Amino acid sequence: MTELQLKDIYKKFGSKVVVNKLNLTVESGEMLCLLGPSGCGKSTTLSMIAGMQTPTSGSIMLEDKELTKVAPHKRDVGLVFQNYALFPHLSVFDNVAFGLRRHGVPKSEIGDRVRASLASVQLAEFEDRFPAQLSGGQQQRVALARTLVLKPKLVLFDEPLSNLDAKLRQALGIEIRLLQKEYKFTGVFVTHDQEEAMLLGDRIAVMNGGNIVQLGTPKEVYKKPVDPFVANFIGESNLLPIANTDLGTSSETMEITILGGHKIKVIANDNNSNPSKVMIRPESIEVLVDKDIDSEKYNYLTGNVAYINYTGTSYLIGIKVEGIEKEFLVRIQNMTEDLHFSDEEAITVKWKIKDTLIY
Amino acid sequence: MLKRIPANWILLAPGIVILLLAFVFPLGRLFIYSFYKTTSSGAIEPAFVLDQYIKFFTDTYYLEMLWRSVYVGVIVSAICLVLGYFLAYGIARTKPKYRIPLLMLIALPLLTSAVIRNFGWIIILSKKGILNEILIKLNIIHQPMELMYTVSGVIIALVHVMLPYMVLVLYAVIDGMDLNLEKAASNLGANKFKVWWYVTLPISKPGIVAGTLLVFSITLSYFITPSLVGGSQVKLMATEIEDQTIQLLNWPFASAMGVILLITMLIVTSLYKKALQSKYEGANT
Repeated sequence: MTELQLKDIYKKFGSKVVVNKLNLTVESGEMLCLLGPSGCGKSTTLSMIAGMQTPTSGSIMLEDKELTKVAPHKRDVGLVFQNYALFPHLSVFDNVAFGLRRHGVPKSEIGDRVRASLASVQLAEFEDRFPAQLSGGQQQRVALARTLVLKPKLVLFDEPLSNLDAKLRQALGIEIRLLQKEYKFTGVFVTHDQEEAMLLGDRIAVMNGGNIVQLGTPKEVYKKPVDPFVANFIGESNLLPIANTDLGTSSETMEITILGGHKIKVIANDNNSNPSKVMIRPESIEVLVDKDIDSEKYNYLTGNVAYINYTGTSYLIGIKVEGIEKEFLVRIQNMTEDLHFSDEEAITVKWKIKDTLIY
Repeated sequence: MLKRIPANWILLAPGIVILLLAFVFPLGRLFIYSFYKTTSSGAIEPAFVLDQYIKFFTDTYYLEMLWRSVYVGVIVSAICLVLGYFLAYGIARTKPKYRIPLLMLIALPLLTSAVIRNFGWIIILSKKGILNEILIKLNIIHQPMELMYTVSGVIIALVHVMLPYMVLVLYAVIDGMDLNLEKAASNLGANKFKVWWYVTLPISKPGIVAGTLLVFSITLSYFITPSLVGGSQVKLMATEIEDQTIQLLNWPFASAMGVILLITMLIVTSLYKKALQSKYEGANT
């Protein structure tokens, strides 16, 4: 069932177009992540759904109800902020009770609902504290309780984890997913952090230049990025400029030459007759150890080791390849034995032809 | 030797010396003087008697004057608070490029001498002044209003003088407020008035307390405006102290009035602060 629908949303600040004819449908109960670099229009989009800003044109529908011009305080939409935005002059209890009181909930009910909500974010004993006495993670959980106590259909998250350190970020991210199951809200989650988007999103909408570039599940967006921008933004990528496309495309694979004269095979693709870039994910690449060449299945590339970084879960190898400006990145996981490569040493790597994407 | 004096004390020293010589010492003299005796011939005799205080508190003329001073102070603070809050809020919520020019406009009166500003008010408020002329021409009133040499006139002129202080103090607090708090309140179901009432207003309370206390304490001892606009008809503590000191040369009585004014100010401000103290300000420390 469709919960939220954005139709042709257009927003201008002065002469600057921030959101350009954006269309988006969010299904009931899903968590949709709006992912993009700063200035891509994701926060403005969220702000328009919350009613803090009005679109220049276009419409916002929540469950078949036109929402575009409804005042923010009359929308059944929750909003969680990056900087928590807790009321500093009110206790934790009063912060959570704020919305209930504004909605005229009877006094007898307020106490129970506030306590239940605080219990669901593990802050039951903190109701008498003031925001300044809590840690960042605790403050954000109070903010979640304050929003969820109203049981909104739709909850908007404006980079709520960005002010927290890495460990807390992941823990609270998972907590948000669990809270979503408990409270059964539909979520729109804005972030510039692809890991957060992967962790939280049922679907990810990658935004750039005021519009959605790609919309799909985390797996789809990661495995089949529609363009170099998405490939680069989500995860690590090697983007190699193509020098020329040649040879017949009659067979299943076609061969292309990248800068530096290296030949690479890709799956023939009728949709893209004139590609300009080749993309390979660093983690789909292996180091060639056994000299066992199978050029029907694999692409090969040889260069010299520029650096090897050990990151705990993997090795990241930067390889200087002739004719290519940026180091070619290879990420090796689950190495049973330590890698022994010294700087400048020649290295050959291989990856499956089907893992080679062209743009 | 110099090494053992901490740097902060060296920085404090000039200020402390000036404060001791120009404030603490004279204030001590004032206290001592207030217990001196004035003989029936007007001569001053060193003594330690409560004569001056008894004279003040047994004469309704002086008690009324004290009450009038406090009353003017409270009314001026209240009017400045309301007008100043609108101004400060309006400036803080306008586009950044307009804020500095608007603040300059607010602060501009502080750059002109208070005497000149008050002469301006005489021209505006007098019987044949600009205000009366305009109101009569517009048929709003038929008889000129008496504003010069009245409490109302003094209050109008004082509000004008004090308003910049109030605006500047309030602006600092309102401008420093996180706008997301207002957004959060609105998102939780508060309409514009309730956002202001439950969030903006309580958060701007430190500014309100500081601004009103500042305006109240300056007003209570302000001399030029009551003297020029109020004249001898509107007697306030400050103008009477001047009379007693310069005209009547009754320094002990003037001293006693000064002490009474100071203590009144301390009592009113501490009561006011206590009434507005809230839990969260304590919690933040």
